[in-house]
Amino acid sequence: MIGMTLLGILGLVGLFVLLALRMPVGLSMLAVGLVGTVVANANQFIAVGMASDQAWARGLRIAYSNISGETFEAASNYNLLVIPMFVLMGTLAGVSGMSNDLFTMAYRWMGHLRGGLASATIAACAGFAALSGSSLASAVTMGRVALPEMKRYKYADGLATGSVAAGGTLGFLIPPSGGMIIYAVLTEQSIGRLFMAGVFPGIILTLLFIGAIYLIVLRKPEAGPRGEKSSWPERKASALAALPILSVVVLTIGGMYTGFFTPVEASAVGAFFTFVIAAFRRSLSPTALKTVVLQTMNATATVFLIIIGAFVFIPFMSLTEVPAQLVTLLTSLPIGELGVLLIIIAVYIFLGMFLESLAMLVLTIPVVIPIAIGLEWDLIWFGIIVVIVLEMGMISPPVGINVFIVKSIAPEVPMGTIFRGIWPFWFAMALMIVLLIIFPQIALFLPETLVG
Amino acid sequence: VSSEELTVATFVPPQHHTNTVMFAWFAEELEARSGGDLTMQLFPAGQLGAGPVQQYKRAVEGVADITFGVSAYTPALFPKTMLAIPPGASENSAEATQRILAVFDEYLADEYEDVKVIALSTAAGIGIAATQDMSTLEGMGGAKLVPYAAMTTPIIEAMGAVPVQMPVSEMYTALSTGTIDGAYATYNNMTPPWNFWDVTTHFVDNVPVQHAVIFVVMNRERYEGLSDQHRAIIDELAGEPASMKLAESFDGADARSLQMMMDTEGKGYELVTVSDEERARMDAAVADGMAAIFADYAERGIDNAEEIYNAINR
Amino acid sequence: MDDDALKPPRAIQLLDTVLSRLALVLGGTTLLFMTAFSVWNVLIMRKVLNNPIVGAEDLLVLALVVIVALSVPLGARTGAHIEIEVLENTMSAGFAKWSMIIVKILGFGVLAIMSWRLWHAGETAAKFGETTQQLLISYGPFYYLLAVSIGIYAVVVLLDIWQLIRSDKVIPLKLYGDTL
Ligand code: NA
Ligand code: NA
Repeated sequence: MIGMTLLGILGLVGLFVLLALRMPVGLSMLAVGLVGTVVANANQFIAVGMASDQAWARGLRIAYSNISGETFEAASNYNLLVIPMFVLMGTLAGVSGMSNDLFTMAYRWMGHLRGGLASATIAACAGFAALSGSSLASAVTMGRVALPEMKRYKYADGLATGSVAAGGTLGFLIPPSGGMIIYAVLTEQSIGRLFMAGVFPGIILTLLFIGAIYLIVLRKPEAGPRGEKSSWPERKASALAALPILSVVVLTIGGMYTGFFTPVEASAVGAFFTFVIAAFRRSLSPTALKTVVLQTMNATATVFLIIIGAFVFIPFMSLTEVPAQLVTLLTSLPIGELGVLLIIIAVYIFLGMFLESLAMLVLTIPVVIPIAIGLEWDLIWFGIIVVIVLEMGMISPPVGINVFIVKSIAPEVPMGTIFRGIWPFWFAMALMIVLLIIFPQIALFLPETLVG
Repeated sequence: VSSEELTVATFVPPQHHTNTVMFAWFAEELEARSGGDLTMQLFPAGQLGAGPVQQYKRAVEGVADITFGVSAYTPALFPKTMLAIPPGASENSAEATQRILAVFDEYLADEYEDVKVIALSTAAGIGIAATQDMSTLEGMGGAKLVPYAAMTTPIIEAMGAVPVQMPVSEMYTALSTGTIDGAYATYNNMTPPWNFWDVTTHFVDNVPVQHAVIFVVMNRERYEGLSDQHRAIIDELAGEPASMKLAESFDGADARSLQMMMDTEGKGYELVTVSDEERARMDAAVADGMAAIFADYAERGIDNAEEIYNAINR
Repeated sequence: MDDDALKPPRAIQLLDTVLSRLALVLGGTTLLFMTAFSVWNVLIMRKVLNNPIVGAEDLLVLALVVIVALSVPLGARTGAHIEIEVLENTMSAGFAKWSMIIVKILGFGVLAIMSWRLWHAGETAAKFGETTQQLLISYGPFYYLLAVSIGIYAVVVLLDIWQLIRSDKVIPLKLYGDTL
C-alpha cells in the first residue's frame, strides 16, 4: 500500500517516461490513466480494510468503466462538434487558394512600405487565422504564398521565415482555435466566450508583430526592401477579390459575437459558406475534395485521441489529490498571486521549448487549472494567457513546430537562421502577456460586455 | 470499527449549492454520527468523470461511491420517475420531494434496484423568464419557449408555444438575441451567475411548475460492504432526511435569488403573476399535453403512466 | 520519392486502401451531413420557419461519434497521433528501435483492453439507459463502432511492430497534399 500523493507523482513520472519513449500523447495518458485508476482505487479500498483481492477487482472494474465511459463521453461531446467543422472550414480555405487573395490584398495595401511584404504576410496570416483553427495550417498555407514573394524582393531570410512562422501562430489565438476548444472543454468554459476573448489580443498581437517588423527594418533597411506601390484601382480590385472570404469571417465571428449563432452553429455555417465559395472558385477538383476530407479526419483524429486520453487521465489525477496539494503548496508560498502566475508562465515557456502545444495543453490543464481556480483567476483570461504562451513554444528552439514547417517550405534556409529570425516576434508575444496581466480587459471586454 | 471514506462525485462546480449545502451537510452528519470514522470526500465539477449523462452508471460501476445526477439525462432509465417532471400539484422542490417519496415504494423503487438511493428531489422550474409577456395563453402563442425537460414538449405545444431545446448555458445569449422568447426557469436563473435579468423583460410566476428530478445514489456493493454501524448511519440519512435537505438546498437557493431580485433595482424586467383564471386555462392545456405524454408512454410499453402521475399528484 | 523502398508491405498497403476509402466515402458523407443538416436546421428551420427539427442535436452528436470512429485508426496510419520526439536524437539506433517496440506492445495492450471494454459497454448500454436525450436512440451500436475503431487501431499498432522488426522503421500512409 502506498500513499496517494506518491502514487500521483509516480503516475506523472510514468507519463513522462512513456512520452520520452515516443508513445503518442493520447495513448500515454490512456495507459497511465487506466493503470493509475486501478491502483488508486484498490489502494483506497485496502486502506479501509477491504480484502486485497476484492479491492483489486473493484479497482479494475472502475478503470474498465472509465476507459469506455470517458471515451464515449469525449466522442459524443456536443461542444466538440466544432472541431471537425472548423477544421473542415480551414482545409477548404486552404485548398481553394483563398490565402492568395488575402495575401494579395494585404500586399496591395502595405507592400510599398519598408518591410511591407513581411507586414502583409502577418496581416494575411491574421485573416487566414480567422478561418483556420490550427497554427500549422496557417503557417503552411501562408508560407507557400508569401515566402516566394519575399524571396523575389530579396528579403532577409530570417525576416521572411520568421514572419511566416510567427504569423502562423495567430491561427491559435484568433478564433476559431483548436487549442481554445480543448481548453474550454477541459475547463468547462464557454467556447464562445473564449473565442471572443481572443479577438482583441489577436488584433493587438498582429499589430505588435508588425511593430516588430518595423523595428527590424528601421535598424536594417536592407532586410525588408519596399515593394512596388499599387494603384488605387488595383487596391480596390484586391479588396473586392478578398471580400467573399472576409464575409465568411465576419459571418462566423460576428455571428458568435452577436449571439446569432452558437459556436457549434457558427462552425457548420462557416464550413458551409467556405465550401460554397470554394465551389464558385472552381477549386474543388476530386483530388482537392479528397484532400479536404482526409485532412479534416486526420486533424480530428489528432484532437480526439488526446482529449480521450485526458478524459481518462484526469479522474486518476483527481483521485490522487496531487493537483489539490500543489494548489496548497503554491498558495502558501510568500510570492503573491503574481509570483504564482509568473512561475506558471515560466514553466510553460520552458516546457514549450520541447513539447507540442496541444500535448502540453492536455498534460498541464489537470494540474494548472485547480491552481487558477484556487486563486480565483478568471479562467477565460487565464486561457488566453495559456494560449499565447503555447504560441511562444511553437516558434522557440529546439522544437518549434512552426519553424519546422517553414523549413519544409524553404529548405534552403538554415534552421539557425529561421530560429534567429523569430526572436523579435517571441518578444512581441511576451509583451502581449505583460499587457494582458496589466490590462485583463483586453481579453475580457468582448465576452463580458457583449455576450454575457 | 475501521475508518471509511466515501467518494462523492457531482458534475456541478465547487461553489454550487448542491456541494456547499447538501453535501456539506451530508459530510457533517456522517462525521458527527460516526465519531469521525465515516467521512466523505467530494469530487465536484466532473473530476471523477466528465458530464452528467453517465452519473448513474458511475454509481452502479463504483467509479464513485455516491453520485449526483439528473434523471432526464437518461430518459430510458427512469421513465416512471420522470412522471414527476410535468406540472401537477407540486409548486416547489419540497412539495415535489414529499410526493415522490410518498409513491416511491409502490411505483418507483424498481427503477433503482442496482443502487442504494440516498436522495430524490427536484429543481422546480417555477416561472418563465421571457422577453415578452407570457402570463396568458395568448402571450405564449407562437413564442419559442424552452421547457424544463424535453418530455414536456407536448405540454408546451398545448399551451400554444413552440418548444425549443437548449442547454441552460446557451439561454442567456439566445434570450438576448431573440433565438428564443422565453425559458422555463427559476429565480436562481435570473440572478448571477446566470443573469437572465439582464436580457429579459418579464419573469412570469404562478405558471404550471415543471421539475427536474434529481437523484443521489450509492453503489450497492459498497453500501452492503460497510460495517453494520456505518450502514445504519447511511440508512438514517438516506430517504427523507437527505431528500428534504436536497429540496431545501434548491428552494433555499431560489429564496436567496428572489431576495436579491427584490433588493436590486434598475433591472429592466418586471415580475408578472399569472391570474387564477388564466392559470386554470394553462392547467387545462397541461391536461391536454399529459394525454399525449401518456399515449407516448403506452407506446413504450408503460401502461400505468397515468396512474403513477395521478398517485404523485394525489 | 515514390520508389518501392518507401512503400510498406502489401498487407499494410491493403489496410491503408481500406482505411482511406472508408474515410473518403463514409467520412465524407458524414461531414457533408453534419454541415448541410446543421445549416438547414439553423438557418432554414429555426431562423426562418421558427420550427427547429426535433432531435437535431441527437443526430449531430451521433455523427460526431461516427467521424471520430473513422478518424482515429486512419490517424494511426498517417501519424496524426502526436508523439514527442525531443529525445529521439539522443538515442542509439538499437535503443530507439527496441524501446519503440516495447512502447508499441504496451500501446497494443491498452488499445485491446479499451476495445474490449467499449464492446462490453455497448452490451450494457440498454441497462444504463444510454440513449440520446430526445429521440432515445440507443448508444449501443455506437459503442460497438468505437470498439471496432479502437480494435483496428490496435491492429495497426501490431503491424507497426511487425514493420519495426522487419525493416527497422514504420512507413506511414501519406495523405494527399500535406498533413496539416
Ligand atoms: Na484561428
Ligand atoms: Na518549442
